Amino acid sequence: MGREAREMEARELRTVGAVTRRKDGLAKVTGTETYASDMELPYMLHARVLRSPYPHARVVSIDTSAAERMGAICITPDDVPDIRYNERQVSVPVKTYRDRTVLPWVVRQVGEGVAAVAARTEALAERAMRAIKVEWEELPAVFDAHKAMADDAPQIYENVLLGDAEFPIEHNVACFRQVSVGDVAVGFEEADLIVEREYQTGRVYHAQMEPKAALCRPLADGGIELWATLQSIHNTRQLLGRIFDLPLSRIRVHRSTIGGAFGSSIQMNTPVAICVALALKARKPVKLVLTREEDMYDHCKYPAEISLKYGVKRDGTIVAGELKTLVDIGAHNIQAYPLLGCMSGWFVSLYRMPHMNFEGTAVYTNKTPACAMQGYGNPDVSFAVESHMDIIAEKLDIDPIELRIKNYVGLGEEFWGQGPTVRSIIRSCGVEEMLRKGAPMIGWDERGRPEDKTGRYRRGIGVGRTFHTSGTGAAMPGEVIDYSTAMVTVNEDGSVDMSTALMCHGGGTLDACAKLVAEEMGVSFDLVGVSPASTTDTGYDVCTHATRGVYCGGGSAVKAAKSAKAVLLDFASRLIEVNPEALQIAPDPVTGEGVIFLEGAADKRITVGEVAKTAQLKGWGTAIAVESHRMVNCPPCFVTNFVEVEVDTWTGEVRVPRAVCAVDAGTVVNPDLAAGQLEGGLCRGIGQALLEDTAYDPVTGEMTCGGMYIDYKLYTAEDMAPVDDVKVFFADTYEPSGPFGAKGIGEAANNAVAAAVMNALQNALGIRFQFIPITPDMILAAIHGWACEGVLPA
Amino acid sequence: MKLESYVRPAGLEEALAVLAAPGPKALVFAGGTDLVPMMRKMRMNGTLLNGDSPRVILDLSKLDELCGIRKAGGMLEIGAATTMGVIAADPSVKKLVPVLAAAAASVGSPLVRNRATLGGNLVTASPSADTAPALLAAGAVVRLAGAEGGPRELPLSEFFVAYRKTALQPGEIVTHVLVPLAGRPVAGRFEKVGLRNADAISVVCAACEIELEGSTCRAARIGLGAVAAVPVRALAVEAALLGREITADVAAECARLVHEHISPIDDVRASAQYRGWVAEAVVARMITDTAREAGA
Repeated sequence: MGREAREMEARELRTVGAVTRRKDGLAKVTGTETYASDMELPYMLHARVLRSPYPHARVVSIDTSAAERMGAICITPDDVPDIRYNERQVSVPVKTYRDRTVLPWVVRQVGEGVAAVAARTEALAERAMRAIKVEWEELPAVFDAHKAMADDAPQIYENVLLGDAEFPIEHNVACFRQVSVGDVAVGFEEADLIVEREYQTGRVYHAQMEPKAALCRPLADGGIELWATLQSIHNTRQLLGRIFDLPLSRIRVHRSTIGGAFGSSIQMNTPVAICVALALKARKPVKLVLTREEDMYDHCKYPAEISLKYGVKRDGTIVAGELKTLVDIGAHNIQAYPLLGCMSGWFVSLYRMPHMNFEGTAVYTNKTPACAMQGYGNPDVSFAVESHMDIIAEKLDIDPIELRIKNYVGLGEEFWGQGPTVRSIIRSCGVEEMLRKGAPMIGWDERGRPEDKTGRYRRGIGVGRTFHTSGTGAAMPGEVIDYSTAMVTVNEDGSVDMSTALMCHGGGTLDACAKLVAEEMGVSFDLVGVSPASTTDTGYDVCTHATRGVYCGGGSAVKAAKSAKAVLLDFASRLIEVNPEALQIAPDPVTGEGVIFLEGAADKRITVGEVAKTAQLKGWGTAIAVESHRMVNCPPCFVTNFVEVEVDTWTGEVRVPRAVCAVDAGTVVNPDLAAGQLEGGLCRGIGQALLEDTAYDPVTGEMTCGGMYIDYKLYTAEDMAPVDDVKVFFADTYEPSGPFGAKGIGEAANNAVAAAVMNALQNALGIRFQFIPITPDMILAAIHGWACEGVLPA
Repeated sequence: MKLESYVRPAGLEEALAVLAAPGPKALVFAGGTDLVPMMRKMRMNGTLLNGDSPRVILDLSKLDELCGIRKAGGMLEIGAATTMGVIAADPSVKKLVPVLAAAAASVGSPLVRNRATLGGNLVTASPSADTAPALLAAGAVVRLAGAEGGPRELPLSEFFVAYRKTALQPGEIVTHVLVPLAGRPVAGRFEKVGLRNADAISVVCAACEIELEGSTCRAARIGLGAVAAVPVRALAVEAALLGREITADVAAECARLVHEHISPIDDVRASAQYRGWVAEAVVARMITDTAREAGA
């Protein structure tokens, strides 16, 4: 189908693009939705984990006898398989670093579990856990990535596994990655202006609403059944099979509803393997639910130090760029290698550079292990690059929007959706549309110059633009695994079941897939059901991450729907004697039921239900199809944020009174949910710009917030701009490779916000902040010229 | 914690008897909004494993004698177990001691305010307790009771002795907070700077009550929180305001004296430098705004 024909199709969509009520909405708002932590099974035991109070220590001995006398089942490092694994299984094995076991003899962060107990009640489990005696040998610890690389730094690991091969760790460097295009030295020679700056982003906690939970039921045949907080049921099954030496056919992992993720469950979370080990030993179901404190010590976002250099011509054309980053990954290498690849890809794909060099170093420290969080290095790279664009624009006296339009990577150009091995050509792009349309909405031309602003309250306007990938598909296999499987069944009453191993993190991914199936099948959205899913009744799906749910997961669902429809139309053609290729399906405007018809022939008409029921009665079979599908592209969903800030120069407090958020998500599947994603991403991004970070006590290795929300603050509804002052719009685009023209949206929503906030602060105060989060303290220090780390005059 | 018992006394007398009983000291519990996080923090770092932690929890939250707000003897009498939510919404508090209503409304989140009590906020003696500066500005008195002897009353400014230490004797509890009603309503304001709008502990909090004649200051009381080891009165600022016509410049000039009373520290929420600066700015703004709102 040509582009025009496809666009025509997009305009005729019935279900996709409509505001529809979420299928899980009622259960969630009435509190009847069941999460893993709500589940109870007969004879179920409750588990608690004994955690290290030290940031780095060797376990000399563990005495569980007192706990066992209390009736508790206990496990120690002696009771778990001696298998080193990586909890994230999205990369191919040869690019997977494995550094952890279910319970370790050496702990590398405060809060790392060394033993666990299961008992009849949670209170008894807690008491039994406290009765375990551990003899520790404290080891020197390091909390700073620079110090960790020094010659005299404590060695956190001697060896890890890379794939199945031993990989020595030197100077605590977990991995290093360099990616080059052209020759940067030549590029910088050609430049009229070179701008070089340092940036830094925070160690943010995911703060997903639901702390991690797992419930494992051991089965009589030696197998297990699992409900847990997960983003991939299939990867979890494969990993549990490897760790516990079980055939995958005896492991059933259920999809549980989860209370958000922000990327924190891409990997199999630490409580899962502990819970399984306990259940196998106890021979009873075991449930393990983390407290908020335990959860906060379990995962965080990758922070980044970025040194960025661009060379530009006098007219604003970028000729060379170099980005060097240092990432403090904490105690485990969950996915630092692909992270660095992705960061190089975000850098390459923001602005055209004939010459480019990227160097990334990931370093172990004795802190909470970092993992992917909404944007996966993109908010960090975009914060640096988009700050830089404003600096360059000012130096060259070019409007920042025009500089961006001159250099952005767009239609027909190459996009690196997941590092250098996952590339595709951009076939839909709303970058210019969003910048041009958004600017007057925020009052860009009236934003004024900082030197003209006076008084206690000063306002400023800033812009940030970037993108995220839609999945990690590509024409050739790369380092990243990406495909989805879906099954579509036409039921005997004309309703449709859709089954997939995709997850919904709260954004409505499963709803979106049901809508895409409804659109393809020609039945109403109400008649498409989302089946409960487990590993035994779905085909493989890599993971709901990388903003791939709608584009990749939806792509496979549409493909399955097409195949099921072909079977259905074949049955119909036998009944109404019309060639199946000539038949169409559309929902009855009153009942929503699909009606199969031949255009222009009133007597050639039959409902989907009549066909399915007749096929069943006559024994023809079921109109059902399963499709495994890999997308061969990873189209960027572009995003643009305009933000206005108001600074109280007496207290350093910053408000965001207005914002404009725009996304190019191709065909928008549900405008209300898409707007919700943008508003949520705005809120989270402002939080990362102004509030969110985790600091560590350099003596105890504990977080200064103690793992509690009392001193870990997120931006809330009470802090956000009034809803009428946050304007949202969608670029008018159509992605030719996407299901009904759709691309992703989720991570994009957050990626450019911090940059927009910092650019707005510069416009308000004339001060360029390069470290985030920027606190009222730092703002006052900058205004008054007090010494303060992370504040540099413009 | 090895809790051996949880006691919910039927009356004040029983509560005081439990506190006076020999053996392990009972831990007084009302809303639990400070105590529970403290217990969880201790659980995280293992300090609760030590054997000397309290064994008895004494829950005062359901004692009728300690709940509620009434006028008595020229005072507004607020039971120590009255919640922040009740105080913030109470018509007499809003009308007669608006600084307290505003302070109570700024504590934590709605969930916290539905449990946290006024007595708890004072007894914890956290420097950042929001109601403390408001009650200092309102000239409040606390009533204490113990098993022996009658109840005694103490100006709130004498109640805070040192960092997280109060004038409570062993076996004593705070039963009521009393605010003198003479001269009310009076012009006043409560100000809070936190890291965000919702559910944030104060980086600096301040309150004032100023009696004005025209635009001339006849009396002033200013309380400050989170800028010293205890909530403090800014006596020098108060004295400097006396007899002055209040303008923004006068307010700014007098506010400079705030540094005589504060000794801020660096902590997880802000630096000492920031707190000092903002304390002065907030006091200046608060005085100016109070005078402006009073029509001076």
